[in-house]
Amino acid sequence: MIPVLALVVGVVLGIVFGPTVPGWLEPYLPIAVVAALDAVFGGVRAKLDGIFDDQQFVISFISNVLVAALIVYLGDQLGVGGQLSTGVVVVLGVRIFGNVAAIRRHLFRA
Amino acid sequence: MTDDPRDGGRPAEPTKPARRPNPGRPNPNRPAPTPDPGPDEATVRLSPVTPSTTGEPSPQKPEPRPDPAASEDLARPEDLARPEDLARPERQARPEDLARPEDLARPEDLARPERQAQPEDLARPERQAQPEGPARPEGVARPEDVETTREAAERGAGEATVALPRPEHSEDATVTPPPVSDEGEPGPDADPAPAGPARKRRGTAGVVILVLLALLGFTLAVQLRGKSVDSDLAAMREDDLVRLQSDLQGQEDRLQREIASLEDSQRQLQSGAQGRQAALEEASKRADELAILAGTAAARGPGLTIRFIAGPKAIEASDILNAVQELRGADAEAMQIAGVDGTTVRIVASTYFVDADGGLEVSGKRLTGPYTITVIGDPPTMRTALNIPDGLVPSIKGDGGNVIVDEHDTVDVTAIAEPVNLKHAKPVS
Repeated sequence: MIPVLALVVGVVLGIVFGPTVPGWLEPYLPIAVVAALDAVFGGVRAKLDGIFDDQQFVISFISNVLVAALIVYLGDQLGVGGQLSTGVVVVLGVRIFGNVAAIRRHLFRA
Repeated sequence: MTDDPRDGGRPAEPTKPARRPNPGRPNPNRPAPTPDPGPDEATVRLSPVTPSTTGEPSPQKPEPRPDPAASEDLARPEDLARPEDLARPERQARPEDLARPEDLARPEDLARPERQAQPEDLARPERQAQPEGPARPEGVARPEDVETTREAAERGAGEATVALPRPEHSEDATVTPPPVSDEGEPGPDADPAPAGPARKRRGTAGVVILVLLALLGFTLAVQLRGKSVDSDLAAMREDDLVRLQSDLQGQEDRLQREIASLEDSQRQLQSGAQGRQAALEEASKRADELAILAGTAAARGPGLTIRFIAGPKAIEASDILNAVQELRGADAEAMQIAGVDGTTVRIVASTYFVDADGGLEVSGKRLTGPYTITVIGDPPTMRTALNIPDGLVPSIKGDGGNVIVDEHDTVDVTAIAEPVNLKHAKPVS
């Protein structure tokens, strides 16, 4: 419950302050957000599975974000930033779908 | 089919070896099924250690021994019969159950060879023979055991897959995280001893999680807002952008051409306007000049006034005409003649002079002397022209009259001739 509140607080802060994204961060932020979403969904799934672990969640969250950003950065340096970010999004999207399916099974038994 | 007779015979055989060892260790038999997970040894090798400590060191150590024996035994006809017996559904079921991936580590040991050897080897047979021998009732019971072993194995597997360093604590941890937020209850639930540091860690981890989630929400909102603020172009695909660009390029070209043509026409119009203006100025200037020559406009400029004073002989029209001709020859540009009464007549191309009584008739107007001619032109030239020897002035002076010529910087020719209405001549252009 409190984590959800934290999420809502973050959203509200983002809407209230609405800072502009600095240019150097612009390519990485969307990917980082998607990676973080993946970690969050994985955390929810683990919670429902009863194997949630705080440390693991924190580590997976941070490492997900960093690795995603790193991959995009590497892609930019190699000149395939667009394709690589697409690939990252696809992979993360597949994972999110899997996690959501598991959550769905937990919640609706279907 | 063929199994039935053999099976019928078989139970008797295994029971003998089975029961021999059995009475010796009736109790260990039941622990034996629990070690059955022992087949899981691949994953849980540590666990069998406990059964060994409980009292069955022999069955475990002997295992390697029977193997060679088993291989030898396999050759025996008796043994050969057993493998077939093993083909019974019940027995087959076990090896399969045992054959779980975890067990795969020792498929050979667990599978036929051992069992084939077991009945003969007293060491091992104990386990497997016992169930077989005492019989089918026990065999019936086994599935349960197997199930329990399965459950145990699954638990073990679950723990193994969870792979948490401390399985016990980890389970508590997984259960308690929600309480972490509630702070009050979970503490007591968790192990009292590790609770202190663990709770601290959990607390910091929880705070970090909250911060991370808040950060995620923040960036999410920022990103969404940024995207919505962004222009539509950012969301367009590359092909669309290229097409758009080419469209704009074409539009720009068209507009550039239009600008060029418009500038061209503007230049033309400007030059036309200038030309017309110049022509107009030229024409008006020319019209003014012509008006002066035609006597339809007043004129001013440097010139002379010439006063004719009659002597004993009156001034004749021919004298005036001579004077006018001389002045025209000296480039006079505008002239008028005035009588003594102030009547003035502009002298133009069509002006005529006729002698009249006591005076002159100039273009229908009657003038009386003395006459004054006002002329605009180059004064010295005209004066010279008038004073040439045997010219106008000497001849009039010879007749006893007088001619007074005065030079002026500006003289006004104000008389205006009647405009002429041409009836026949038309301009040719």
